[in-house]
Amino acid sequence: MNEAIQSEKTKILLIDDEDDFCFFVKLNLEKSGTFDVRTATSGPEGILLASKERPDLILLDIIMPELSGDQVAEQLMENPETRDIPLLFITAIASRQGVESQEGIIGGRQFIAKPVTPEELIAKINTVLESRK
Amino acid sequence: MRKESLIRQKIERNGLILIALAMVLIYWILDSLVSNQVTTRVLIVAFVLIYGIFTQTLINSRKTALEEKERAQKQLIEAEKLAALGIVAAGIAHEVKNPLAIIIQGVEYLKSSMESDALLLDVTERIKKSALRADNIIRGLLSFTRQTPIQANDVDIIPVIEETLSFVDYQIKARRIKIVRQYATGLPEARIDDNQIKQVFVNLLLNSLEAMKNGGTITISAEGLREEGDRRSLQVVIADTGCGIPESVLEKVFDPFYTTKDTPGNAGLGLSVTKGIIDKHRGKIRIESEVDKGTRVIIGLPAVSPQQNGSPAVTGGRNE
Repeated sequence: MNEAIQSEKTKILLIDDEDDFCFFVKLNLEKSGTFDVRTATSGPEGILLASKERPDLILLDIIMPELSGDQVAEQLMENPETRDIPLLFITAIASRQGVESQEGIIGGRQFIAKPVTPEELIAKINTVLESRK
Repeated sequence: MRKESLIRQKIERNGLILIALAMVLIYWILDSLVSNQVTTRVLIVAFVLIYGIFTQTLINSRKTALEEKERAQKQLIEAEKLAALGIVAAGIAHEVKNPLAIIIQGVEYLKSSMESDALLLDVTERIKKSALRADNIIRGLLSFTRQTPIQANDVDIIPVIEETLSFVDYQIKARRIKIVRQYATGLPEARIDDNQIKQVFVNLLLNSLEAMKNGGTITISAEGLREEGDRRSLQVVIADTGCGIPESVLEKVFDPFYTTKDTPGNAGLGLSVTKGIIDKHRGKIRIESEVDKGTRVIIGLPAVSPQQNGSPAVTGGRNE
C-alpha cells in the first residue's frame, strides 16, 4: 500500500469497499503493463491515499459504508491537492445499458457500470485521461 | 379469475333462456287477449322482438362494464406489484452485480494467465458467459420494474435478429437445433430501441430452446405489413417445433413471476419483460401454441412508412 507509484506508468487509485474487486482490478490493470494501481476499501482511506499518492485518475465506487462515493468526491474536490484529479465512478447501481445509452456521462460525471471487463475499463480510463489533456 | 369467468358464462346462458321463455310467455298472453287480426299479430311479434333485443343489449352493456372493472382492478394489482418489485429489484441488482463484477475480473485475469491451455480457456470463457447471463437477468429485472423508456431509431431488423442468434449460438449447437430464416425482401426499417428488442428476441429464443430439449427447428420470419392508410408495421415470427404450451398455461404466460420451468435462476419474468418492451414500442405480441407440436410467437413492431424514408414496397421472398 505504501510503495511509491512509479512515475512512468499511469497512476490509478481504486476506492471500492469490495476487497475482492479491488484485488482483481489491480491484477488486471497492472498486467497490461501501463498502470500502477493503489486500492482503498473505504472512503476515508481513499481520501488519504489520494492526497498522498496524487494518482492520475481515481476509480470510485458509489455505494460504500462510512462515506459514499459522492461524499468522497466532494471531499476530494474541496482539497486543492486532489481537486484536479479526474474521477471515474464505477458502480453497480446503474445498468450497463443505461450508462452506455448516455455515453458514460451522467450528470456531468464519468461512469462505468459493473460488471465490467478489464478491456472496457482500460478503454474508459484512457478516454477519460485523453479528455483531460 | 377463470372461475369467475365460468360463473359469468353460466349466468349469461341462464339469462338468455329466461328471456326466451319470457318472450314466449308474453307472446302467448298477448295473443290470447287480442283478436285474430294479422296486423295486431305482427305488432305483437315486433313488440316481443324489440323487448328481447333491448334486454339482450342491457345484458351486454352490463357485461362490458363488468369486464372493464375487472381489467382496471387487474392493472391496479399489477402496478402495485411492480412498485414493490422495483424496490426489491434495485437492492438485488446492487448486491448481485458486485459479485458478478468480481467473477468477471477474476476470470479475465485467469484467462490472460493461461493462454496456451485451450481447455482451461474454454472453462473460463463459459464461467464468464454465465456471469454475463446473470447480469442480463438483473438488467431484465431492472428494465421491467423501472419501465426504462425506449430510445427508438430506424433500424434494419435482420442484423438485430442475427446478432441475437449469435448470443444463443452455443445453446443452438448444443441442442442440435436447426435455424430456418424466412426474411422478406425489401423489408421496411423498424422504429425500435434495438437493445431492448434484442432482449425480446433472446427471451423468446431461450424459451424455444427450452421447449426443444431433443432438437428441432426454429423458424424466424420477418415481413412488412401494411396497416391502416400508409402506416407500416413489421411482423417477426419465431416458431419452434417444441413441446408447446397447454391452453390453461397460455393465458398466464405474460404474468410476472409465472413460470413452468424448474431450472434454477428462472424468475418467471422473461415473457413479462418481453411484453412490457413490446407494449412500450406500441407493438403487438401474441402466442399460438399446440401441445407436442410447437409454439409461434407473432410480434408486430412499428415500421418506417414510405413518407418517412421512401422505402420500396414490401415483396415476398424466402431464404434459409
